[in-house]
Amino acid sequence: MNSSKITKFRESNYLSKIPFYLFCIFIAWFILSLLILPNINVLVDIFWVDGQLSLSAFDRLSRSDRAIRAVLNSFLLASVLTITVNIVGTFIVLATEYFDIKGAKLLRVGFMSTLVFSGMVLNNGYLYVYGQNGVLTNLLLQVFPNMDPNWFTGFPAVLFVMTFACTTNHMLFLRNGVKGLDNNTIEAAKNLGSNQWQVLRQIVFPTLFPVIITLVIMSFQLGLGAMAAPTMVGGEFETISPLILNFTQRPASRDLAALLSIILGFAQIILLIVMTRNEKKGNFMSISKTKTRVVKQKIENPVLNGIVHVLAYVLFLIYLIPLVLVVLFSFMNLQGISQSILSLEYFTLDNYADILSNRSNFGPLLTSMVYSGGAAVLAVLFMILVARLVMKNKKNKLAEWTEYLFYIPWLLPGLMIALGLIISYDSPSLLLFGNSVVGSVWILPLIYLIMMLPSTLRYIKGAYYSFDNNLEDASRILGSSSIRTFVQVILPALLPTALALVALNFNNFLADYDLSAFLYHPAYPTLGIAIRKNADAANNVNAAAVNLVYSVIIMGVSAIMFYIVYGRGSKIGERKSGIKKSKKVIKAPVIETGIGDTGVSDPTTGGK
Amino acid sequence: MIEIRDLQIKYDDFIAINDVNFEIKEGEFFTLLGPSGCGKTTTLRSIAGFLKPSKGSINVNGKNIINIPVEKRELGMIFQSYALFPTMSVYDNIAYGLKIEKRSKSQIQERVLELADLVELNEEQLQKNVSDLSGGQQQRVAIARALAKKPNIVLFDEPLSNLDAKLRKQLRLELKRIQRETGMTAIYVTHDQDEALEISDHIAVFNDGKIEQIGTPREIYDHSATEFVCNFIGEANSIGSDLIQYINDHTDKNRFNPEAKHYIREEKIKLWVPSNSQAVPINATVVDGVFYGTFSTYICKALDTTLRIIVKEDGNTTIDSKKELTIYIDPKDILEYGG
Repeated sequence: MNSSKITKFRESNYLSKIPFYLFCIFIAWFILSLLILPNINVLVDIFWVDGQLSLSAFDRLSRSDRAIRAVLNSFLLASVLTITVNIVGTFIVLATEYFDIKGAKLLRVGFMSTLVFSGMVLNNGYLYVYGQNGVLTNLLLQVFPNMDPNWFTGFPAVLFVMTFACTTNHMLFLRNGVKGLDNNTIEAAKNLGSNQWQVLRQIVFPTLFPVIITLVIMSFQLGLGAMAAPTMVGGEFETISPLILNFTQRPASRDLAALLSIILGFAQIILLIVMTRNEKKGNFMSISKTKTRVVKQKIENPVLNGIVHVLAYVLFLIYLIPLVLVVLFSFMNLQGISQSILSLEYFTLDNYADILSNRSNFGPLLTSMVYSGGAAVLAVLFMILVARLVMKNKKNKLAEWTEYLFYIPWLLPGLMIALGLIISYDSPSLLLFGNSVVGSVWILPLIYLIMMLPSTLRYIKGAYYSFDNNLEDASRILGSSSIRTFVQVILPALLPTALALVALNFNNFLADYDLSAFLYHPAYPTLGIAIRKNADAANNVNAAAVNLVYSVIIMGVSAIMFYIVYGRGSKIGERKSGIKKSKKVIKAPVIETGIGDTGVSDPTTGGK
Repeated sequence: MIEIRDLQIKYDDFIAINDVNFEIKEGEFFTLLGPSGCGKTTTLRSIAGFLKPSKGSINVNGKNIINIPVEKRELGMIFQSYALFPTMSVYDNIAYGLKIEKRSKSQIQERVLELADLVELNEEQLQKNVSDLSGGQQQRVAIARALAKKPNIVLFDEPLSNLDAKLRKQLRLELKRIQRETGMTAIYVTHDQDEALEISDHIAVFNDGKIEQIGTPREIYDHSATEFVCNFIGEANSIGSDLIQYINDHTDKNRFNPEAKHYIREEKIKLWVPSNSQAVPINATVVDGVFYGTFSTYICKALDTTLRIIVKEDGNTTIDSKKELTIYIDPKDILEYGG
């Protein structure tokens, strides 16, 4: 090689591209073996029997009364839930953000409590109040001794729990919609002769309509895939997701499990298409350049005003009583817990000491923290690199498809992906370098990671869009290499978003039950599994005490995470990094903008 | 010396710039001027190395740099948005390039302070976060950062466009001063003709992906090569065919082609008999007048042409609307295109 060729080779930076090519190979392997192949295998498992195409699974499913009932129950739950969640959700948002209700700030705290009081914690809390040994049940039994102590079960119980759990989305999205209303439009309507009801019906609701439609779809989706609530309070009322779990555990019924998960996946895809179309129609948020904030409307009719106040506070109590009781009883000794008596006499910190000192109780907490924390960090790091690749090759079809393939976990229910992994890798596979996932400790964090990818990619991509590309150019022209530019300029700018995503992902999967139920390692049960087992041990006061402490710890961790991401914590971080005032602001992921994401966690399970 | 030869840049099928040729001497302040979307920034970014030309060469001191990666071109650049790193202090922003060169701490500190002095930033400001500075101060940081490694060539991508008019004027002069003091070669992109005329040694006027004219500010202004340049630089009156015929009749016959387009700069039309006796007197009527303090403008109608005339104010002249007067046009000031 002559010197000019050597110079050309050096100038062309071929060597520096080796990490890039290795990363591309890794992405290809990940997509193929963990996102595509497992789901294809689910289809093969159903439709390819004894080496030929078969529809026998449909036949078997149609002959299974239990399966048909579960499918019908799921659609019934989804349909009714859509109505109840939207009535309650819209009411609480209007009561706290639109109407002038006394104590609105306090009410808002109660209604937003499901942000931290969610998932298995919420289910356990409701059981603690309304369940067989619940505080309310015990009180009622004193008044009505002949009452069935197991009254809180079946469809009404599932609907009740899920209705209040699912309004979190309203407090995030619809609340934002109401705050985005232009007060001038309300004043204009009044000026033209509209009364309060007409303003609400003709101005406010039509403006919020696209958001409400999205919330309707989201409620339907959550109802259809419900897992924890039917498992814990459903009793005879069985839905699709728990049945998939049940069938998966029996090899002979695995094809039925696969078929049910396909039904769930198909419904999810249809709902996503409807939601995306709805979003594409745009919204009716104010087009005014001098928008004014909504001034809270005082309800003019005194009777109606009284009724709305009473309803708001009744709902406030429904939301807050389980949470408060869980917190308070976590500080009561076993006697206090068993007798449902709150007294300073029974106050103790032993329950907390027991969790921290007893390995069998501390274990699930640690396992969940390591699993969800590890998966959250890896998912964010991985998607930062993938998003960078996608953004740098915007016009490249391969890059475009790579991005789409990472959204697969959005299209399909987590249960189907879990099932796919089980079917594909129940024995050592070359694609996993001779490993099998079934029975391994890392299958659960792996599927957490897979499920975290779509929303993480979307938010990171959003952050890249907010990034001033001139910063990268400036760094390069000052002599910095691509990698150094990435580490010193791009990464620090993405850091607030990345940290926020780690926190959110960690939070979403900390008390996961759905996926854990499928894939947990018997030696390392997760929090979700532990809470479920403890809840099943109905007469075991120790188990109840452990669950109470677990719940408080999870709520505490969630609250801290929300503080870091959206509270003062994030503002302090922004101030320190100086990003806030810069022209291109990269913020923590704004939940409100994620309305189209199905990445919103299932509030009744903690999973997705 | 920088030589751009037959430069072409394509975005898919769209040709952003084509057949661009120019040379820049060492230590020169060279401006790429033109309206939005004309290809001036594209040309600058290809020199920087952010865009790879589909054709042509960019030679710096005789070496074609097209295949040299951005970070190895050793150019300075100042961006329209300043592109200051928001996660770093002012000091760290200026020191960034020096740290990449692995200079010692003391060398870095010495250079940063030297630059701070050059761009008039004080030590307190150096410790601040860049977002705590005003627009003008951020611009100074961007200049200091670009100059830190003592590049021979500095690229400016509309660096003053985000500033208010007064600050823009002030910083223009400072840029020119810094360029003179450092002896760097500056390639400056702007759409502001006043800015280009004020600070440039040479200007290349871009239109629709091509260069229309290259010259000194005076050449570009007084002898605009094309109708586009004439209209883009300064203000010019379009002269109607009747008026051209009138001027033809009163000077050498057929000096101007009646089929061509003709223009005259506003300030070239006189209200008094100029010392140059070649000027043609023309009867006109004042339609309107606006007083601007140091000068006034008058809209006059002469035959088929409406002319805007600039008159320096001496405080004694007042011209009323509808007043009939004689204006003087020197044929050598008329610019002719096409025909």
